[in-house]
Amino acid sequence: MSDSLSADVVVIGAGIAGSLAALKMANAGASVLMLESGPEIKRDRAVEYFRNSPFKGDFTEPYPPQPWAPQPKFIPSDNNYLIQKGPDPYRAQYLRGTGGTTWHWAGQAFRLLPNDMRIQSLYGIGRDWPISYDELEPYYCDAEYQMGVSGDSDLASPRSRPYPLPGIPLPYGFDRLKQRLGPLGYEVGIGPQARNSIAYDGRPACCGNNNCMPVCPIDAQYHGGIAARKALDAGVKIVTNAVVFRIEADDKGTIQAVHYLDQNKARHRVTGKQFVLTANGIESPKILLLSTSDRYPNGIANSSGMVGRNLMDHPGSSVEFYADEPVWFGRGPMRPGSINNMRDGDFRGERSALRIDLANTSPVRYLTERLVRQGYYGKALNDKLAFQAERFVQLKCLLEMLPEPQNRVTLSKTEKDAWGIPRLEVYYRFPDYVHRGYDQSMIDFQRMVKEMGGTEAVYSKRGVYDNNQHITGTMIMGSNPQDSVVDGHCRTHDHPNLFIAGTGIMPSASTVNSTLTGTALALRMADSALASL
Amino acid sequence: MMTLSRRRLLTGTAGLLVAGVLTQVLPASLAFASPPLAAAVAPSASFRAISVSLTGLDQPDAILAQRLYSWLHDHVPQLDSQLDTLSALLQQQPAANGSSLLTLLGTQPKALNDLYQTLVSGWYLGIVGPLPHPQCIAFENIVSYQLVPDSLLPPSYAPGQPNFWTQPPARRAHV
Amino acid sequence: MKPVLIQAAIAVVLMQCAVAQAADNAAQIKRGEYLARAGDCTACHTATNGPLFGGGFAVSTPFGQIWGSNISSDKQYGIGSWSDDQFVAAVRDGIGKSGEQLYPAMPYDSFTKMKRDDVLAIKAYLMSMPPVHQASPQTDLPFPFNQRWGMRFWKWFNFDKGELQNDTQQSAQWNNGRYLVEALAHCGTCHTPRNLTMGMDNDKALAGGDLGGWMAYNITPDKQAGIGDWSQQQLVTYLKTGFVANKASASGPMAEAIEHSLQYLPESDLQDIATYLRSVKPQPDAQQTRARDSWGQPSTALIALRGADEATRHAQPGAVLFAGNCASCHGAEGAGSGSGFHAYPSLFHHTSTGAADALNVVSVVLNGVHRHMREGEVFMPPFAPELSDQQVADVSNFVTQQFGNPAAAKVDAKQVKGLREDAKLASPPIYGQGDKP
Repeated sequence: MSDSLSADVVVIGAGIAGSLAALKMANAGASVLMLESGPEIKRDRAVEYFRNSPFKGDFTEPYPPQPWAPQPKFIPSDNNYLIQKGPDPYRAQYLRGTGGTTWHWAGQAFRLLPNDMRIQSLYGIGRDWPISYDELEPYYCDAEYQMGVSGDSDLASPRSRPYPLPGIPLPYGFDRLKQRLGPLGYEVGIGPQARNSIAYDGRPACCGNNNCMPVCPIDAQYHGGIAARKALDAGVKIVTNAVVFRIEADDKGTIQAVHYLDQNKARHRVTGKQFVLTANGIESPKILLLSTSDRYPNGIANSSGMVGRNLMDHPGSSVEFYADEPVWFGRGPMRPGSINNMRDGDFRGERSALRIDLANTSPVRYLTERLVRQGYYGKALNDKLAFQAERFVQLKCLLEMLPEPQNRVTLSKTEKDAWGIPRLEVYYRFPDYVHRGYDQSMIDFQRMVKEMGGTEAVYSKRGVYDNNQHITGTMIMGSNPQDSVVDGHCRTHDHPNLFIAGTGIMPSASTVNSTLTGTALALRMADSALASL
Repeated sequence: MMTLSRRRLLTGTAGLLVAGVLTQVLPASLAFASPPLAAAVAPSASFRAISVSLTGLDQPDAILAQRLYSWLHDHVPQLDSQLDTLSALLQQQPAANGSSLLTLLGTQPKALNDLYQTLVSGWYLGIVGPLPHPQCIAFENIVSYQLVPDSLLPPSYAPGQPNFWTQPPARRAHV
Repeated sequence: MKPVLIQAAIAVVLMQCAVAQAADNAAQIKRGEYLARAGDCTACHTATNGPLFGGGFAVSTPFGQIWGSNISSDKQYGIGSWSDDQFVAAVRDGIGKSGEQLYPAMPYDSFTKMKRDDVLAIKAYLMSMPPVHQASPQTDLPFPFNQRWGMRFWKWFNFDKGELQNDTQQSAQWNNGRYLVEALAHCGTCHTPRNLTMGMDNDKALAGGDLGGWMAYNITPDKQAGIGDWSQQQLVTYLKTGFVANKASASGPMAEAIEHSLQYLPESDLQDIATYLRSVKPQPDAQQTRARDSWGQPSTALIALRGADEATRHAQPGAVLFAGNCASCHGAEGAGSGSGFHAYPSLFHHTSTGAADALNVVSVVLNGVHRHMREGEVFMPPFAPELSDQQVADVSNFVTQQFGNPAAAKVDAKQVKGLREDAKLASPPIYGQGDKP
């Protein structure tokens, strides 16, 4: 066991949250060490892995995992990375490697609404955040400038600084839906995106190659790999292929060290003054739960018993149809616009709010596969494909999940991964709150389909929801140490020198993608960690 | 086990461009998963003829033609006679397309069904071979991306200059 | 009554003189502003993102760094207390305010051709701009180059003093073009080869120059070696925008010249420059067997690589790098994409890839391209932070082999290393490994 590695701040997990926090702390003069379970991810290899893959719809194909850092995979078969124990599946998909899962995101960079942080006080459901929107707002600005977020409307999230970049103009087809659906009350608008509308920060403008998921070939889209690189250039030491499996605290509760396994299963011990956990909303609680001892029989930072609980994501419903005019969805970035004016209101006391993305993923492959399955070939196939591809519309609705303690990840008592680390079990169940949100989304979808003269509409099923990879709730933020894991400054209640940030600490999921919020929290957390040095 | 950068790989193994050495040196999980491409074989007349019919294109891409034919040549016994059989079947029932074609194929041996599926999947999607390990033999030149010109082209390649998407495509593919 | 009238008359005359003077001054300043643009003073006399004309920009030369001086109106650190003669002597004769010899990094061997009134107009413009109260660093070259009196010898060999005189046999446009090319825009400073003493070799005027990291190409009308196959309009478009589809796109120092200077010149000036250039003596080059923009064709190398296994990919490092790094914007076949101002250029039929020397290809790969134009940004990212020396060599050789002049495909990692270090560029990251943190 080697134990010479040490730094002022030890960060676990080199994703977007950890890397931007590390960058901030290094720029403030701290010595920072980041441990990343997976390998270095390189963009040009990822791009070619994608193009060579027979499974182009599988966003993990460009990111082959290492044996010591397995990750969930579903195609061609489910590797059951998370052992499903509940009535509803929780199909998380994420990456373990430098930069983390934002290598294959769609760059949607929304802020929460102020009301999203007060749903218990306002609507009697879920939990309030222990901090206000105003306290988080400056960090939203910092995160947006780091990432290069483009946008136009503030979408009812107040701003103290303008967007760093102008909004990316909507594709032609989106404009058509905007014109036709607007009079019905559905406001299609430019989405705030961590995607360059003009060259910014040494990276080019979006060229519309429609490959945001699984990888932007030109880094017009921001991702954690860019953040990790910046952190490295700023003097952060980054150790890849280092699987943290234990956090070590003394009897007073001060974290003394973390332990990791390397590519040869050898153990290493790393010491520091302050410790930051940013390994995503599933891997982070796993490490906490693994770190049991006599003093901490339930693991680190878990006196509340909340670690791993309150698991949330955005359940997704959807509809696809052929519009009555050509709209050519699939040109430009994958998620350039959405309907954002259904995210808040008194109805949230009864049912989930909605946010509807117009999905700009090129439908060509999907439609071709279907036509081939249906037995078409030659000119007949070509004619149908051309017609369908021109008019295909897919709308995806994000519903708001609530934090419920029984929805959780726990360590398996019997199953271990290839490096001997216990695997995780997951229990997940959608509440009626979500199902009632689904019902509303169907009403809205039907109205939109009718307005667009839609044919062959296919609606997703009640109770069968997409997973959107927005892992929240598992290390929940709150002011009461008895029912939360971290306080409003991202410091764990139990350990004064252990901080957690990223999406996993969010007490509410809202209906917007969580990365910008997780990143803003990480920047806020960095201030707390720095103040403690 | 080390993760080797390409530079170290090249300078260290400059004289050792042999597959055996390489698979030792690169971790298997990072090496490109494709098996070696089939040795190139010139497409037969039977193949060329049926490809025109199956793709609806007068001049299907020559590189993909060779790639697909070579793969079939490696995997399908009596390939050309099978192609002729399939061709004759389709010509007997030129209107069979969609579910009626599936019905027709359902009356045929599995091998012929598989051949049909491989041909169409190979041409339109660039994917051949069965689950769980199909092979991608083409992407940029597959038929599905030839059909909506100026607009729906293979992802990961810039179809135009920034903000081109605000305007409809110059040419409409389908009235 | 009469003295009052006379006084009034004098006052009116004086006022009219003052107004006329002011109008003259305004006209002179405006002309000076135009001339300063054409001469691109800012290129060497303004630091990157620094205050205008405040100096602080280092010109890299084989002898070391030469700092552009503060030429703002500041009395202490700029030219604020310089007389007209002193200013003219600096610009046209290469003599500093205290009589010291100026290094010919200041291209007085071109500016000597300027009319005195033009030099003074520039002075008037500079004096009208805000002072920058900050000293520019002193140039401090190693011995013997710090012996400025040595410039006398340099001048003896290389300095042809004297204003350009109009050639009455030629049109006004041609004369204006020559004035712009030889005096103001000082094209020869980059585009004329240097002799042994680093003076311009005027026998080979505009036959091309080596700037260390970049080649300034032959811009004589030679049909193989120069711009002989460019039309007048193509030349004008290039000077104005830095881009002519299927022919050329400007990078490096030429992109800067277009960005700071040429894009602001009136169309008639650009026409005159083109007229003049197309009239100079064609200079051949045995290395350049065909026009630089006539090389290459679409490549099928990438499509052939699709689905290949690791061994095959390993045998074609340049193609693999091109696929992963370049093809997204430049096309799988290298044909570029899009049209108009923001189009991504084709790599074949491109003067940089068709040149017999691949230096500019390598430098573009390392540095990227950034033209900040009035119409918007043209931007290609630098690949120095992504690719190693060997990778840069491999992809550059692939590009010239597939899309350009195959004779140029002999870049090696050592050459790339030198270019990277000279330009102080980044290198790919090195992450620690779990077993060897």
